[in-house]
Amino acid sequence: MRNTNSLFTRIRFLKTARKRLETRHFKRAKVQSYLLRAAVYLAAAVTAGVLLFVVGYILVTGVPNLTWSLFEWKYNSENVSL
Amino acid sequence: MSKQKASSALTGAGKKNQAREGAARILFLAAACVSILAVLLITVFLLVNGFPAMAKIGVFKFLLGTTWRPGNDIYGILPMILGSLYVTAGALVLGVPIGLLTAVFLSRFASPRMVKLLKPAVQLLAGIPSVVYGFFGLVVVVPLTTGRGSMLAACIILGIMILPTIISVSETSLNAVESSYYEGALALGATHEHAVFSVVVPAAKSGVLASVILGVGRAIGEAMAVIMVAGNQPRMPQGLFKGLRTLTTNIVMEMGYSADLHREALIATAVVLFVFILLINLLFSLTKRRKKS
Repeated sequence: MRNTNSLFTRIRFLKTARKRLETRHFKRAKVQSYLLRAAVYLAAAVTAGVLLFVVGYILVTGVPNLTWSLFEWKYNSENVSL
Repeated sequence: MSKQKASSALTGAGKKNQAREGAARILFLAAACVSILAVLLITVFLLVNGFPAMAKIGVFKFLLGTTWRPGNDIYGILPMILGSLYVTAGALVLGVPIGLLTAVFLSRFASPRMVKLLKPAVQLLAGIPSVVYGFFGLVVVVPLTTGRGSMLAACIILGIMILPTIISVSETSLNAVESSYYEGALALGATHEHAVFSVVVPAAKSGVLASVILGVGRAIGEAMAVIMVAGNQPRMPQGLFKGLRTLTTNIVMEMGYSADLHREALIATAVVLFVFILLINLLFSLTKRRKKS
C-alpha cells in the first residue's frame, strides 16, 4: 500500500514537472513567434515607408517648381541652367 | 484529284512555315551573336587598354598602392577597392535583413490585398533612377547623418537601392518552396512563424543567396548615387563617418579630363571592377547550379 502510494506520488510529480516544462517551452516559442512576426512587419513597414518617403519627397519638393518655361524650345532667363 | 490538290496546298503551307521558321532562327541567332559580340568587344577593349597600364605602373603597385595622385603619376587603387568593398558590405548589412524579411512578409504573412499593394511598390522602388536616389541621399540622408559625404550615407542609399533586387528574387524562391514543407512543420506542432523561419526559409536558401549575390552586383557597380553622397576623397577609408571613393566613382570623376597613362589607369580600374563583377556572376551561376542539382 505504501509502495503504491509512493508510485502515485512520483507519477503525479513527473506529470506536473512535464506540464511545467511544456508550458515554459510553449511560452518561449510564443515569445519567439511574436518577435519574428514583429520583425517581419517592421521590415515591411520600413520598405513601404522608405518608398513613400522617397517618392513623396521628390514629388512634394519637385512638382511646385515645374513651370511651363522649363519645357520651352529656346533658352531664356527662366530655364537656362548656367 | 481533289486529294492531290489538298496535299499540294498543304505542302506549300508547310514549306512557307519552314521558311518562316528558318528566317526566325537566323534572326534569333543574329541577335544572340550581336549580344555576345558586344560583351566580347567590351572585354577585349578593357583588357587591351587596361593591362598595358597595369604593366607600366606595376601590378602590385597598382592594386596594392595606397596613394592615387595622377598629377605625380602615382596610381594606387587600394583605397578605391576597399571603398567599394566597405560600401557594398555596409549596404548588405542594411539591405539584406530588411529585404529578406519583407520578402517573407510578402510570401507568407501578407494578405492578397496587401501583396497587390506592396508588390508594385517594390517594383516602383526598382524603377527609380539612381540619380534620383543620389539626389535624395544628398538632400535628406547626408544632412541627417554627418552633414557631408560619408561611407554611412553611401551605405544607407545603396542599402535602399538593393532592396528591390533582394525582395523580388527572395520572394520568388520562397513562393517556389513546396507547401508540404510548411504543412509538415505545422503538423509537427510548429507555429506559423517557426514553420516559415525554420523550414520554408532554409528550403529557399539558394534563392535567397542568389538574391544577395545580385544585390552585391548592384551595389558594387553603382556610380551615380554613390558619387553624390560618398565624399569621393581618394584616400584609405577612415571610418563610417568619413568620406571615401569607390572604383566606379573614381572612373566617373576623372575620365572626363584624363589623358595618356592616367586614362589607361582608369581603364585598368575598370578591368578590376570587371573582374569583381565576373566573380560575382560566377558565384551566382554556381549557386544556381547547386539549386538545380
